[in-house]
Formats: sequence, structure tokens, C-alpha cells
Amino acid sequence: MEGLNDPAMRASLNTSFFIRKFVRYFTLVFTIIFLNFAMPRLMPGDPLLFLFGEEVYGAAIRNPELIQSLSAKYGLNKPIFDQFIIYLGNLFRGDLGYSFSYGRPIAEIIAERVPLTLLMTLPPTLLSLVTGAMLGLHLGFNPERAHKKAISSLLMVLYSVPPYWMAIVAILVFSLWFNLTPIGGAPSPGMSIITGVSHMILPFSVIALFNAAYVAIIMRGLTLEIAEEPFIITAKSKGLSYIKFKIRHLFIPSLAPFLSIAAIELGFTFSGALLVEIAFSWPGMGYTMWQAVVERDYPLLQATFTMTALIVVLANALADLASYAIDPRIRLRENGRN
Amino acid sequence: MVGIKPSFMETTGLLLISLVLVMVILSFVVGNVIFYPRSESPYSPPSQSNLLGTDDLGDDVLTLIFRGSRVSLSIGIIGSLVSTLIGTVIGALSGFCGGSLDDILGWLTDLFIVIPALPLMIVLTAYLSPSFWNVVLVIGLLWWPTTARLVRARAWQLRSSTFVEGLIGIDASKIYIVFRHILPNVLGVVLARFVLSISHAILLEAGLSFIGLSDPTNPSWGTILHFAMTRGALLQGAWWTFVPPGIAISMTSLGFILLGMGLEQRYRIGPKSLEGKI
Repeated sequence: MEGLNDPAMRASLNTSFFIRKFVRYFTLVFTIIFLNFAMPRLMPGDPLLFLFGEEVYGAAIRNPELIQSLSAKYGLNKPIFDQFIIYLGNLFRGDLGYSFSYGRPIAEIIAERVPLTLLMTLPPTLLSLVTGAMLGLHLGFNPERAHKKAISSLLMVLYSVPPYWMAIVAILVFSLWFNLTPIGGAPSPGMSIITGVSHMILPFSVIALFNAAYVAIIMRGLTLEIAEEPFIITAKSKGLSYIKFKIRHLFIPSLAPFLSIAAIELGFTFSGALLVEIAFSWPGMGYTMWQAVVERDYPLLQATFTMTALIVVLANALADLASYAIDPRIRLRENGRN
Repeated sequence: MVGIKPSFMETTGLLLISLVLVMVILSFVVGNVIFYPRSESPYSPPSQSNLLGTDDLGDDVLTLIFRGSRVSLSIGIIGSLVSTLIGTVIGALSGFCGGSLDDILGWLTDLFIVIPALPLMIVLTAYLSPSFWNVVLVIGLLWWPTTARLVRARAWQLRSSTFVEGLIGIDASKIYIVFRHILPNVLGVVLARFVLSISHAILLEAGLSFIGLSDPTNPSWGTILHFAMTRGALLQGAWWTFVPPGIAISMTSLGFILLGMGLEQRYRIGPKSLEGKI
């Protein structure tokens, strides 16, 4: 305990924390890349089909020379370890392969679409993190009150509704029946601000609503759990003001576990947002994934998986850093453990 | 210690689940008797002869929904069973044995809890072809990490309890302690996770089907939504083809979520035990 006040001790603890985290995220990224390499090669069926997509495969089986040249490019006739080295080399050169359904290099398509996915998911997610956390904190404190019970039930309902279906119903009501918003599509550079915003209103609202419900449910559960801890009883008996009590003793202690749980479940909400893109014909990663499935464009499908997984891992790393900065108990636990 | 009387959440959850079960039973028992054959007119709105209208092929939507209940619910239950079994065994071994086994399993759990499951499931299902059992397998094999983490936390607690220390003291084998004493004591956690995972599996299956990865000859609720999206029911304003399946999915998953969260409260599983070791 006292060691933590010694700056030298602290610095060495910090270093060991960052090394461990670095190892963790390095392994994660490596696993994702390895999965990406292994999946098409280990699946039942011809790996050539999965590596090139249905269209090229169809053409290639009638043309032995094409097979030869493609196999040479991916090193398919070499041992598996050499194949992995070739694959890593291509990856680091930014060569993700070629999408035949688009007739373009995959890296180009991905680079175009990742920003659109971020545009659609980031602002509503940040908004719902703040509002959801505040709402959950409120609901978890004196949870027996009638209005809080009612709101909590409503949140459960919102959480059970698939967000892409919510999106479809929103399009039906606001675009088709009331004609207020465009039916789909993302804002593009040539659009006026008003048109651009009108494209974003529905997707933003759907994602924000779903995420906020979800975040509030997590935060409510955490608050309920923390409210039973001994330091809460002490704080109450000290007669602290309501605001001081709520912020310092309920909110701050729940923040770090909240961040780490929210990060774990981020993959789930992010996947939901990807499906929302399909409903809105919003050409981001989820929409691309859907098209790749429809066209049996396996290389493109793989690349979208890799990118989404990497985005989620990055978000996790950020949440980890944030909880480390916020909560001194993490530093104690992380460093004092085992 | 644990009340027998079901809480409000559990009751509501059970009520919703029984509604779905009634749907499943009806779809078997009355089958083609009260359901309507394919009508001639596509996208006809709800009427006397087709209570929920027809889809683009002129199929009765109500019939599709009833039949879809079998697929969605069975994939949900079997998928959840597989994932809960895997998660329980990994969590119990990891939490009880500790040491390097715990490190390895914890590392594995930690990896798969972060990698987003749905996109990985989409890729795997696309490779394996989306048959019923493949979808069950993919969901079952990728949805265990949360369960493993919760079971591990509980098993870890149990390990330091006096009765387990006593067992270790009289030289009982580790396997014996895990299966005879640890597993029965984590059953509450496991039950809650099983019920919650059913709702997740139903939502995941619906997501996979929505993106087009399902067996079209055996359509689930998600498949109906997929066809409504790809065949233009939305633009036609044919709300009766896509609103009811969404309500069915939401209602079913709400039922299992309420029951599962009720069980979590009953067995006092707080969200904090979700936090990892790392």
C-alpha cells in the first residue's frame, strides 16, 4: 500500500502494467490475423474457393494457368508456414487481396468504408455512454421507486429489440409514412448540410437508443452492487450531501468496472450497429459484409471481419487505458495480483 | 436463503416464454389445419383469409411466423446449451485448479471475449454453409467466454471456502472435487447464463439470418426479415411481412432476458464478476 506513494516504485509498477497490456493486445491482434489466415485454409472445401471468392474460382477451375498463377501468388503449393510468411508480407504491404465483385483492391474499398462506419457508430456510442451511465446511476440508487422500476422495464424491452429491426420500423414510419427522412444512404461530400443531417438522424437515433438502454442496464446493475459495499454505508453515515455522495461514492467507484464491462460488450453493440447499416443501405463495413455474403466474395468478407475485429480491439485498449487512469484500485489490483 | 417465490421479472419472463412455447406447439399440433395455403396474391394486406397478410410469394405470414418459431427457439436452446456447457467446464476447471491451467484458459477466454463474435460467426457460417447444425455449432463454439468468466469467478470463491479446503486436506482428487462439489455449487450461475444465452443465441441467429446466412428451406424469423429486406417489402410498405417477425424475436428474447436477469438476482450474480482477471 505505502509502496504506491514512492515514485520509483510507482514507475516500475506502471511499466509492468503497460508491458502486460502490450502483450495482451499484441496477442489479440496476432490471433485475429492468424484466424484470418487459417480460416479459409482449414475449412472443409477447396481453400481456393475461399481465397478467391466464388466468381474467380468458377473461372479458375476451367483455366489451369490462372490457378497456377494465383496459387503462386499466395504460395499455396508451399508448406503452411511459408504461406503464413507470404500472407504476413502481403498484409504489411497493405495488400488485402482483390475483390472481384467490386473489381477493385480490397484495401481501397475498406479504406473508403471504415470512416463511414465510424461516422455512424462513434457519435451515438459516445452519447449513449454518457447518457446511459447517468441514467443507470440514477436508476440503480433507490431502485424500488415506482418510476425507476417502470423506466428499467422499458430499458429491458429496448435491449431485447434487434436494432436492425428497429431501424426498419423507423424507416417505415418516418420515411415512408411521414416522409420526413430519406429512405437510406449515407451523406456524401456534395450534399447540403441539411440533407446530410437528414440522412444521419435515423441511424444515429436507433444506435444511440439501443446502446443507451444497454449501457444503462449495465450501470444500474453496477450501482446496485456498489451500493452494498461498506464504504457506501460509511459515506451515508457521514451525512454527506446528496450530490457529493452520488458522484464521489457511487459514480467514481463504478466508473472503472463500468468501462471494462462496456468494453467487453462493445463487440456486441458494434455488431448490432453493423447490421443497422444494412437496413439503411449505409455503405460502411456492415453493408460491405452483407454484400460480400450475398456475392460469395470471401476475400472481402474476411477483410471486413479483420477490420471490425481490429476496431473493437482498439476500443478495448482505449477503455483499458481510461480505467487505469481513473481508478487507483485498478493500479493496486493489477500490480498486486498473484 | 433463496426465496422459492418467483420475482416479478421471472414471472413476466416465464409468461412470455410460455407464449412462444404455445406458438411452437400450435405449429406442430394444428399444422396445416388452421393455417392457410399459399394465396394467389403477393403482398396482400391482413384480411379475414390471411390474418397477417401474405409475403412476396403469396405465402401466409402468420403460418411462416408459427413455423419460424420452431427454428428460432430450437437454435436458441441448443446453441445456448452447447455454449453454456463449454463455458461451465472451462470456467470451473480454470477457477478451481488455478496455476498454469487457469493462466492458459483465462488467456483463451480473454482473447475470445474481445474478438467480436457476430462478425466471426458470419465468416464461419459463410464458409460452412448455413445449415441448422452449423449455425448451432458456430453459436455454441463462440458464445462461451462470458459464461466461463462468471463461472470462474464463482469457482474461485468456492475454492477458498472451508469445505473445499477440507476436501483438499483429505486428499480428494481435483477432478472429483470439481465435478462433485464445485459444479453443483455453481449451478445457479450456470442456469442464469443458460437462460440469458438462449436470448443471445436467438438474437445472433436472427442476425445471421438477416444477413442472409440461414437455411432458406427452413426459414426462421430472421430469414423472414431477410427476405422482406431483399425482396423489397419495405419499399412496398408491406409492414405486415416484417413487423410481426421482429415482434416475435423481441418478445422471445425479452422473455429469456427477464427470466435470466431474475435468476441472476436470485443467485446474486453482479456485473462486477464479469471483470476479467487480466
